[in-house]
Amino acid sequence: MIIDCHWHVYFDHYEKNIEKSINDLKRCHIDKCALMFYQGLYQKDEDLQLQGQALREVMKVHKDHFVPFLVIDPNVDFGIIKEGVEEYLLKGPAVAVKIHHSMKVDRKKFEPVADLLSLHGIPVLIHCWYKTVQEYENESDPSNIANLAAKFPDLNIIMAHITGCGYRGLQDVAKYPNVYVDTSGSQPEDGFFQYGLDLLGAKRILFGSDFPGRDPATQLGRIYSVDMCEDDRKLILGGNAVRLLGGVSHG
Amino acid sequence: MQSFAEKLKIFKNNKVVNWHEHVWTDAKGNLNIPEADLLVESAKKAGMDVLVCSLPVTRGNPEPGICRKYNDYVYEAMQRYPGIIQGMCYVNPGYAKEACLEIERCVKELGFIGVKLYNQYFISDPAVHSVIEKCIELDIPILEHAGRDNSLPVSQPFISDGTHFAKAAEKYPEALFIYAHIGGGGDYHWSLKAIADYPNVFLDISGSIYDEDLIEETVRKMGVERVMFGTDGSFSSSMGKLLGCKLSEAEKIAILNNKHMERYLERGMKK
Amino acid sequence: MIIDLCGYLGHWPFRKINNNDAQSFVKVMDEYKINMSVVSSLNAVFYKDTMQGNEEITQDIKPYSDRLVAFSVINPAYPAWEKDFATCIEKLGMKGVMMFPYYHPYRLTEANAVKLANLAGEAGVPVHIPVSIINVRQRHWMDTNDVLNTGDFISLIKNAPNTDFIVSNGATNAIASAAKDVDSKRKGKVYYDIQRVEVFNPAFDSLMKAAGPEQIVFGTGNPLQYLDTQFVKLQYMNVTDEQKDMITYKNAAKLLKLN
Repeated sequence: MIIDCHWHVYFDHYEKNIEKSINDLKRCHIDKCALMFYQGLYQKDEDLQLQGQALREVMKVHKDHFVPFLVIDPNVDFGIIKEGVEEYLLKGPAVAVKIHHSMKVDRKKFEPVADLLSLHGIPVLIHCWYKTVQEYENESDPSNIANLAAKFPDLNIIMAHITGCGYRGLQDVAKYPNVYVDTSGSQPEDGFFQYGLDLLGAKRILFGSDFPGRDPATQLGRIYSVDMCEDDRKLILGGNAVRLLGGVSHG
Repeated sequence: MQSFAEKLKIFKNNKVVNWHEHVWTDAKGNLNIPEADLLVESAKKAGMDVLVCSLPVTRGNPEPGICRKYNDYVYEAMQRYPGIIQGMCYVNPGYAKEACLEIERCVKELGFIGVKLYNQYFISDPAVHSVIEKCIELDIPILEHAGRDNSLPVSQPFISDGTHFAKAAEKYPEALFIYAHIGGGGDYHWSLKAIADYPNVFLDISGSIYDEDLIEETVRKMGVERVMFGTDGSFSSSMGKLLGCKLSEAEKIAILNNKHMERYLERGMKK
Repeated sequence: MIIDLCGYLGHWPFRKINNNDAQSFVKVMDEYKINMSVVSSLNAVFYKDTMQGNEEITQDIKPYSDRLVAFSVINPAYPAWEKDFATCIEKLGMKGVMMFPYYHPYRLTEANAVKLANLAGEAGVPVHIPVSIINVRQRHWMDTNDVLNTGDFISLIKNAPNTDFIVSNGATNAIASAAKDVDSKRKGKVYYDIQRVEVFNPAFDSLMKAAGPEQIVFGTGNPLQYLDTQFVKLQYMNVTDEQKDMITYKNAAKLLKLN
């Protein structure tokens, strides 16, 4: 099974975007993808509820295509976040959380969120990049992930964008077994995926595309470009996602 | 008024430990022995007693094999000048496992007294944590290449400045970090302000920059106890800035042989 | 005897400096037994009209005219620079010209820069171009990122064949090697100081080889830098007494046309 763990759907007119996503999944022979609604970088108070309800609507009809994530802006009041987690993660359908570049994740303000997710065994996918120019204001880099992972060893973290994080970023997180990395985004430059495989091992890498920012077909090509045994490739293509994202129990 | 020749005697009349020097390779990639000989000869002429040397890779990301080879060259220099050259082992923290093994080898088998890191990573990068933890375990200092280079284009994107040291020092208060060459070019005001309040960050005064008031400002921020003498290829500049500064004779002598660092030297001498 | 060819008076905008007025500057000279210093106005470098700084320094050094000699700062990209040059040399008694192409908007290859250099040659005064005033690695974010361009400098000396030049505070051994061929064919000569040339390694020897002791001069960068660094070099340089005298004052005296 191939699961793309990093897939965005614009929230405005999402029904049409869902249809397009399904078509693109079929085009690329990808079985499932993460469903991460994009409501803008910073959320309004009501956005989490709207998002959660939309996830439920979509999953009623299209559960065979999607692995639902709840996208959280940690700047929103923690009470609202807690409500959202309890309603849409613990009761379903979401199985994981996505954090955009809305807060550096080793800030004190993120700790209650990390604590809550850790407590309930909810994995979190975090946008992450080491940039030399054009860094976003609150963008996490791998050192932030490493700090978070050290503080919350029971929190499963998926560090997004292997190429953006680079060799240095992979080295930053290598010693934290609770940090995984997805292969999504950036140009699929040669070398980084192989390095990640050698350093972290196949069990800690997940296939992702960063759709619609990147064409899933090219991102998928990266996974086939590196020599590895087929068991490892299956883990990366979907096995790790099943293991990591299947663990949240819905009440 | 004291003659300059008299002034220079502070070097000959007191123990001088130079905490920042290097041996290098020659065109064939072996230890450059004539250069090492000239270094020691110059040191003797100038009145320096000990040279703490390393051989770092200054460009690129070396594999562990290169680091090991270079550390072996430093050991060769230590054997050639026993008691004069002490060694700091250079590692690439990106190869965390290999780096830690190499540090163990150099300290336990070869008698090295510290670790030298260069510009492959910021000292505050998590990728460096394993190396820092190993240094804490072995109780050895880390001399990190440093500077806040404001010139363009950027030639060393991962050179550590004082803010990186402050982060690392905060996370690892048990480690001893040495900010290399406060006179090595770069905005020293920036770095001094960043590291002033971290008692486990020391510095050496080496480098080709000898701005008036550099040493006074360093001591105002750091205190004399955290400052040590070094040259890093700039003998005249490093000697001159110490001679020219308005510290007392006692303070200058304290910098020439930093008492806090003596125990690391003694350990190396025992091997 | 010591003549320091590289001193400054006035305000440096990017950090606090000491002893930058004439009275305390001379006290420092006394401490180091420096007989004479050439000074130029740091203020002039940053004033839009450098002439204001030249006039200031002329007044400032009047009480110390036996110890201090002023060089003018001329910006040949500013109006009436030729008149300023003439005033400085003929009326204010300044003994040389400072050029700062990395602070002022011109290159040394441009016509006005070449003209200024030639005018200096005709007037029998040297042109001093420091490689930089301070090392660019510690530059303030509003300070220049440029230093003396060696290629431009060699072009200038070629186009001003009768002018003496002084280059200071940089890798003068490398500049001397690069300029040697062109300089050997000129009537004027380039003189190099050793502020950033180490005597404990082959750098000083390479300067001696490229320029010879007749073209090496003494400069300190006072008050921006510790003077002791240069005195360490004097102590340890491998030269004869006669060569040392050339470096410490004889070459400078010739440049300044002192008796």
